[in-house]
Order: sequence, then C-alpha cells, then structure tokens
Amino acid sequence: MSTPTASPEILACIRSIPQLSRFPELEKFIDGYPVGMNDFVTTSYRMLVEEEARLDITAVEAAVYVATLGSFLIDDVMDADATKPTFDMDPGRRVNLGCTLLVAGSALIGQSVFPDAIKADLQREYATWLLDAAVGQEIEARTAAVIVPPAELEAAYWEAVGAKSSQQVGCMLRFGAVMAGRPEQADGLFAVGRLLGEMAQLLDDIGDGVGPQISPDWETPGKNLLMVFCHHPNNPKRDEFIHHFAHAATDPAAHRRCREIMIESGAVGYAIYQYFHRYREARALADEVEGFDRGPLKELVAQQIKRVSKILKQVGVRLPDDIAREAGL
Amino acid sequence: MLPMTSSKVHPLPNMNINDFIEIANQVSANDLIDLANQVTAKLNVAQIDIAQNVPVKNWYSWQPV
Repeated sequence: MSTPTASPEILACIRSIPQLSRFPELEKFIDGYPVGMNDFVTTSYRMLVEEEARLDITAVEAAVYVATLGSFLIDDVMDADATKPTFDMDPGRRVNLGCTLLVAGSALIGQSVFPDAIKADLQREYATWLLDAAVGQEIEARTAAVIVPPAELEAAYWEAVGAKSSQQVGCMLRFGAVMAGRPEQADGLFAVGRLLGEMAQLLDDIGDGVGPQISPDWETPGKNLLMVFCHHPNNPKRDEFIHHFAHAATDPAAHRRCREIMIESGAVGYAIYQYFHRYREARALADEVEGFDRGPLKELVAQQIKRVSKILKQVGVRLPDDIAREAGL
Repeated sequence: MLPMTSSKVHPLPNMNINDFIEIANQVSANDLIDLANQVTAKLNVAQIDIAQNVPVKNWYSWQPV
C-alpha cells in the first residue's frame, strides 16, 4: 500500500466541518496517524468505474479518514496506549473527540457529490461499519478483561478479529461498490476485504509480539495471536514464556526471551501460516469475481504479501512458487 | 437499497493452534506448514530488530531487512 496519510484535499474537506475547529488538538495529529484505509476505498471505486465516469470521492475518503481516526482515538484510550500523539489529552476529551469524528464522517458523506440514493446507501454502509467495529471493540475488551481458559483464547481472538479488523477492510471495499452504484459487487468485494483485514491484523500481531517495543498487547495477551499461541496449554514452552512474560514490560532480558520463545515455539510460524492461508483464499475469491476487470483486485491482493515475502526471502526462507511469483520475487 | 448487513463471525481457521503444534517441525506435504517450519528455524530476534528499526509502529512497519 502507499504511504498511509491524507491528501491536502481530504484534509481541506475535513476542515470544512466547522465544529471540528473547536478541538485544538486535532490539528496536532490529523495528519500524523498511520491510516491507510482510503487506499482500499479508492481502489475499489476505480476498479468498478471507468475513468471518464468517475465522480469526486474526496468527501467519502474524508469520511473514512475521520472515522478511522476517531476509532483509533477510542482504541488508544481503551488500550491506555502511551505511545500515541494524543496521549497528553485527557482520556475523556479524547473519547469525546473520537465520537465527534465518527459523527463528522456521516456529515462528510452528506456533503459528497453522489445522488441522494447512493448517499443513503453510503450512510447505511457507514453505520454498519461503525456499529460492527464497536461490537468488535466490546468483544476484544471483554476478552482482555476476563479470564479466558487458555485453550479457548484462540476462538475468542478470531471472533474479535472477525468483528473488528477484517470487517473494517471488507467495508472499505464495499464502499467502492456502493459509490459505483454496483451493489451486486458489494458482497464479493467484502469477502476479499475481510481476508485482507485479517492478514493486516496478523502482521500487526507479529510486529507487536516479536518487535523490539513493548506494545499494549503485552498487557492483554488475548489480543495477539503470537501470545495466544504461547499461552496454549500444549505449547511445550508455555511455562517458560509465562514466567518471563510477567516481567517483560520492565525487564528487557525477559522481554527478549519472550520474543525468542515466540519464534522458537512456532508462534511466528503459525501466524505466517495463517497469513498465507488467507492470502490464497483471497486470491481464489479475486479470481472468481465477474462483471469487471479483476486485474486491479488481484493486484491489490498481491500487494499485501510483497513486503513480508521479501523479508522472509531475505532471512533465507524458501517461499512456495506461487507466492514467490506473485510477490515478484 | 442495500440491506443493513452485519458481519458474521469468521469460522475458525482450517488449522488451529492445537493442530499446528501437533504437526509442527515434521516434514509436511502442506507447503504452508513447510513455510511455517522454515520461519521457526531461520528467523531470529536480531533479524527482527533490524527489520523493525522504525519508530512508528503500524501495519506497514514490518520493514524489509
């Protein structure tokens, strides 16, 4: 994907909502959060509409952008994530700003250039996305807050991912179909997007788990597949992992040993297995779409594996032929 | 008008952790299991530290080595 940031046109559109000027901190981070959801919306729309027939979708892109920002703000409060640029804002004010941004997204869709019937569908799609995302947050928070038996952690993990990350990317691709007035393509694109969202979540988990920084996942291991794997009762290194995990946030040596165990015990390998399993599923779905040029969709799917495939090749892993070919390696 | 859809819970993956632990480190006809085993054998923390030498953590930060 391209660098996840908002274009000047999108930022100007957001600043046209007068109420947002009452939140002075917004300007400090409006262009600083890593947000790449717009790429999925834009690509989806362009796949379905010939260039000469395309309308200006900036307002819808802006809606997706502010909604993603709002969701991140609320997520950061729930995670108590001290690494984010808004952390010096009072949590209550951050939540208020987050909710304001979610509503601002609806206002931006209302400002878009699309006919009223499509605007109504977009508003419905927007509401579905955010309602499901809120449910995902709730499932994730409950999973983190209660003691889930280790053998059941994985099921809870996939349930939360299914309602949150995967659903989000699915909705982004659906937005394109709705804007294009091609509702018959919405479900197929949604199915591909869900898999891409799960792939993104798996990469996020690898980075949070085995990366050099202590992330909020270290407070709530049920949210990270690598940590779920290491807590599994059949993992031979489980006891050693739990011993070091208790001190990982404050003891660099314990943190490093946990990261090593994630690799040695197969947790990273398992996440990679799940990642490419979903890739192949998404590719198969992209091969089945009909009614438009499937080339850009297949390229969108293939883009997801390029970076991780390159890393794996560089550390000496031999990739399956189909994956190496489609990753351009 | 589109129906007000809601996400369905994704079914468990075709292989879960329990299954994976049972067959991991064995020679497998499944090329993705073989790929996972290679990751376990060849990846190490030092390589990750190099790969993640990026201050902003996000989906895209698992940078190439």
